[in-house]
Amino acid sequence: MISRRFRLGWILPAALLIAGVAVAQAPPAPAPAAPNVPRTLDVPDGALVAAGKAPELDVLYTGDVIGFIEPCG
Amino acid sequence: MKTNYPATPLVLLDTGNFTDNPTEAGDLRTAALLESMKRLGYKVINIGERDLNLGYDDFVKRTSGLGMTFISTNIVKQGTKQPVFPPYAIFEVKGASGKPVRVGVLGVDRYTPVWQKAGPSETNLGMAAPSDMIATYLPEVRAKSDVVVLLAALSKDDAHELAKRFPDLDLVVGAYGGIYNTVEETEGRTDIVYTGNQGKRIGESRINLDAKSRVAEVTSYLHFLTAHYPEDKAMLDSLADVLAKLPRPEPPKKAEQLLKQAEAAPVAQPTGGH
Repeated sequence: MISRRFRLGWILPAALLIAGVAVAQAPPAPAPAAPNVPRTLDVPDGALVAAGKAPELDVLYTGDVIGFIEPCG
Repeated sequence: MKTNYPATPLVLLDTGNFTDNPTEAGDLRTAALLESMKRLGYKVINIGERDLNLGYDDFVKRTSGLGMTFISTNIVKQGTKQPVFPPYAIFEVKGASGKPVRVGVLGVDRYTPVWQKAGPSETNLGMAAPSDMIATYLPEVRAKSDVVVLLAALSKDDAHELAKRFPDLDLVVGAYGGIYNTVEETEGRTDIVYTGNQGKRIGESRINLDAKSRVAEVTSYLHFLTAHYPEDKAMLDSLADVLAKLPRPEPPKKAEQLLKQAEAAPVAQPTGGH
């Protein structure tokens, strides 16, 4: 007859071993997704012209100028 | 840009509503602005509602001979869908790689069913729904262009709707009531950039094409023209005459009254001391 104390004596270490193996084999938790932060339209580093390779075409545009030809204030 | 990227062609566009109030000073400013835009090399300009405040004949008189292309995709002969102005423009530039790049431009104003102005030959101008007119003209513009730009004088929400419905648009640039972007906005593959008003900001979209000459990449910036940006002396000189003719605003009456009170008040005498 197996005593209660004997059963606890091997069941507990076995359970800990199995749990350890399970944790070791589990795939790593996925890294949290990077938040989808839209890029600012400011020219980087306070420059007048953004750095980078020459684009094939550069489109510049304005609108609603309503006759402003000098600083408005 | 010309200094840093000498091989890259610069294409200047305007979404319209460039016209000041119809006063003597306003007319001077509008004429000077158009002359400056011509000097800067603006290529295509959408015609906004303000630009037609005094009707078709006045608009033609103010813009003829400037050498810039004025378009409107949705200003029509009232009660029809016949455009009164060229509904789009297509032109070719030499890209940075040396290959030709065909640029197609459409331009729309907000849909106002009750809007009407005097048109040519005793007709009236009216406004058609932008989506109806884009649906009509975009296929032929797309077929003949590598890059298709929509100039939008309507709300940003409407611009998103149009970009969603017409994915063949590569870029939507707009101005409407001072609204401007602070961050990139897209609808599908279409970039949408709003620049605000009064010429305080200039939008810039750098475009690269793939091997089939289709738009592969668009990177946009918004330049806020603070004192950080150097003034163009030649442009200032060319505007000097116009600025000298403009009436200066009178000082506020309250300030005048305070000045008179100060002049009339007795000067306080020193009260002695050590």
